Amino acid sequence: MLLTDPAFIRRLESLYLLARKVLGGTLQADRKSTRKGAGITFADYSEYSFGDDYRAIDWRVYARLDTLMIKLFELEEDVTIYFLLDASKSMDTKFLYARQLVAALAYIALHSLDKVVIYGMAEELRPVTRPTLGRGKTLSVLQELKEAQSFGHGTDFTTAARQLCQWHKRRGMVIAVSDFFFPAGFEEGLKFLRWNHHDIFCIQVQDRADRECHLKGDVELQCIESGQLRKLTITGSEARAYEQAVHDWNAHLSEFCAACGIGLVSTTIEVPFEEIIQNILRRGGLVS
Amino acid sequence: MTFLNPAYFLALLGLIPLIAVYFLKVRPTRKSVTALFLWQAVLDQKKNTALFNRLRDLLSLLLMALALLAIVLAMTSPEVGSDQRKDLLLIIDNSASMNAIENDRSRLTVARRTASDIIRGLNTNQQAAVATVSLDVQYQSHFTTSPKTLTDAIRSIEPSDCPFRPESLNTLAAGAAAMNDCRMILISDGCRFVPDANSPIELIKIGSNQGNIGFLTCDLRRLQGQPVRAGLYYKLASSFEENVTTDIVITHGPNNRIVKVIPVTIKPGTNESEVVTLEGADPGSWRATLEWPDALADDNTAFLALPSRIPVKVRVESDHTFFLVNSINAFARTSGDLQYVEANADVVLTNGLIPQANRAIILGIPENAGWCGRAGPEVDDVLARIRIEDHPILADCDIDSIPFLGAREITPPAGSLVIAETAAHVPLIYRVRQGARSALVVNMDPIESEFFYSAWFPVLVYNGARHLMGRQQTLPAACAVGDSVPIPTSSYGAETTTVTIDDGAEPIQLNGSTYGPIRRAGLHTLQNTSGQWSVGANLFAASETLLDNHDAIDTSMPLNRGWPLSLILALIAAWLLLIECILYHRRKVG
Repeated sequence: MLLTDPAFIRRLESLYLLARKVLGGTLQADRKSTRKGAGITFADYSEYSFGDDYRAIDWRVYARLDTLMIKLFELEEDVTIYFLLDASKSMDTKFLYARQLVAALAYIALHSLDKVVIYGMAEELRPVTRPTLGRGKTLSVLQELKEAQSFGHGTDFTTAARQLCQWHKRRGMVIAVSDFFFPAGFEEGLKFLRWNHHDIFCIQVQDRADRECHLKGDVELQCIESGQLRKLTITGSEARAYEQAVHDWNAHLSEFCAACGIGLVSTTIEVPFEEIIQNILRRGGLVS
Repeated sequence: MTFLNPAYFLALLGLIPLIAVYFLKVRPTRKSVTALFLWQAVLDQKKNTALFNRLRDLLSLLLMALALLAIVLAMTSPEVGSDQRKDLLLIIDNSASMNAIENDRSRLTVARRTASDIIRGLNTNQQAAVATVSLDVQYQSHFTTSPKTLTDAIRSIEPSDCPFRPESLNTLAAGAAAMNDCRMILISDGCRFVPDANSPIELIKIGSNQGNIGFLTCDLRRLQGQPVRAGLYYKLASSFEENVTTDIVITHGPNNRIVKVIPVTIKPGTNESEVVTLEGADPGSWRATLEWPDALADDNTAFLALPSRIPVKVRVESDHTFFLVNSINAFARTSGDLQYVEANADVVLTNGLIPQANRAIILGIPENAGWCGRAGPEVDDVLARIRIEDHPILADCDIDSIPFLGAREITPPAGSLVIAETAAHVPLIYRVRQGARSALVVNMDPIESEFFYSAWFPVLVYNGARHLMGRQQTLPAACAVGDSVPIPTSSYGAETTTVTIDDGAEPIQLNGSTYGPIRRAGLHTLQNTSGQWSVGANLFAASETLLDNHDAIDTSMPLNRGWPLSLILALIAAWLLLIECILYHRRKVG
């Protein structure tokens, strides 16, 4: 299914409606900031200090307590959502599914007046879309997503994370969509993003061939990214060992994300992407 | 080593395409994976078998090449040795000595296994037949190329109790010239077969000298004049190198009641015969058993039979009974075979009368001979000539010294048996039968001939009475397996006799006057309308008992035995292919 198909866009619209219903109208550029500033919603009182805005002094409190107190208001600001879409060769069979997920989330974000930036990720980051804001840009984002191609010979998540932080100093939400089969590991990259105060959400997309081994006998294994070859005789025990290794890898990712407060959803391409989006929304949005 | 089909070596050229195809076959299929680094842990675990994995392809190729080589060699029909590949007549000795146990197996078992090995070694063009030999040669299968038929024939060979008679092979040896392409192979322990260099029969010798004791002969008879005592005669032999001291246990009856235990010391070789007196010699079956564990059990027991004492009851019909009664009582007092009675007689003894009894001895034929013939005037020439030599009626009787004075010219009825006659063919002693009646007629005037004073008078009465009752031919207490025994009968060969053997075999129906040759050891009981008799059949053969085959030399020429080399090679090829299949399966299926 093409990402710009009317049918697909209708599915995205349904998801957005669902999102509004689930999240109760708090979507409109209203990602609450922890910073206090010039908003309209009262947040707290604070003692007056030199340099504070006189207009913020609550005179009623001064009259009652004889102390200068100023009102604090929540700072409302739009959020930039950075999508890191794994575009390496290992995503070949999962690339469409990953793009559908990104398209759905980007659709919801754009309709919520969030800024969206989508990057393709391999050994380096390559922009798929420029920073985009507003509902009117939805179709162009989908079109660019549709035209996105896989590239590179491997995935270096750490480098990608560093590049993102160099290019975008402003903190935001980073959504990484990948199979997370990074030979160099995912820990460094996630830690780096977290250190740069990004909210991080991981969507692990795998297919059945990633998790189960149906190979038997003498095979020459070729890494789909690097082209590296290894000869191996696969018996039942070897197949089970591989499946255990995949299971351990995924379990480690899950444990690491839980430990770091990073949101994680694991899925396979056999699950309809709407279910994943709904799952994410029902769990409270992309806030971990 | 020779190859019957060397042209098949060209098939080795098949190695070239085999190698080419094999290298194509072993190339692994290439599979793309998304997480090769995760396979690394698996690869690390398999480092131990890395060398084997590297050599496995080479090993597979080697296995395939060896399998092809084995198949090609099998096709060339290789042969080791110089077997002429003639047709074979396998003669398996199943005589009693082949029942000897060596190393927990009988010699016959070893012989059968040897014959089976030879059958396996036959090629497809060779024919073979299987025969057994003991008393005589018996074919178990015709000439065939079918190994199954031959193997079944070998399997059907049963051990026998008969001694080996080498002369039974003479006919085979004589026919050897007519069978140019046939080898005759005797598989035997060679206990009585010593082939010479010119013999067409090759001997495959089975077994070696073994320690054995046994009866060479044994007999049991009532002592003369002592009806309750019997004499046991026996002769033993031993193939042990030292004296053997043991017991002979004498038992009686079907329950084997022990009557006597005789301690004996048996010297090596054939021992002197011994006689032992047994008290209370009841009629029936007897056994003498040597209690000693040895190689051959068949000769450790002698089966014997002591006949019942049933006298022939004789009545006298005559005006002058004195001599006649005394002639009967003479045997009643000694052997007890005759008994004088005045009623219910088996035989009637008369002087010049034709009795109405069923069996009669008639001394002097009256003018009116009745059913005994047509009598005429007296004849002058009464010099007796024996017409049937060795007739039992004339046993122990000097007929030449009997004057047949007063003999009449007589024409006996048709079917009469003339035993003695004059030169003019006037019957002097003849046996006549008419319906159920039979009589022995002595054509003379006993008074004129002074026959009552003759020593042959009671002998002739004794022989005549027992002959008419069918008891003249008694069975011996024991005989050797392979012998024939006469069937006692009073009906002169027209009777059916039932033979029962005490080993539980089915009874045998016989017609004729002799039973034999007897092929099984044990107590044989013969029954017909004349009575019931028993005889013990025993091995009684020194060659079998002594188990001495020291002089027998294996004279067999080279002969292929066991599985053919081509079959073994084919099996090796199959095994190699099986191993390769396992490796291939592991390569392709894991």
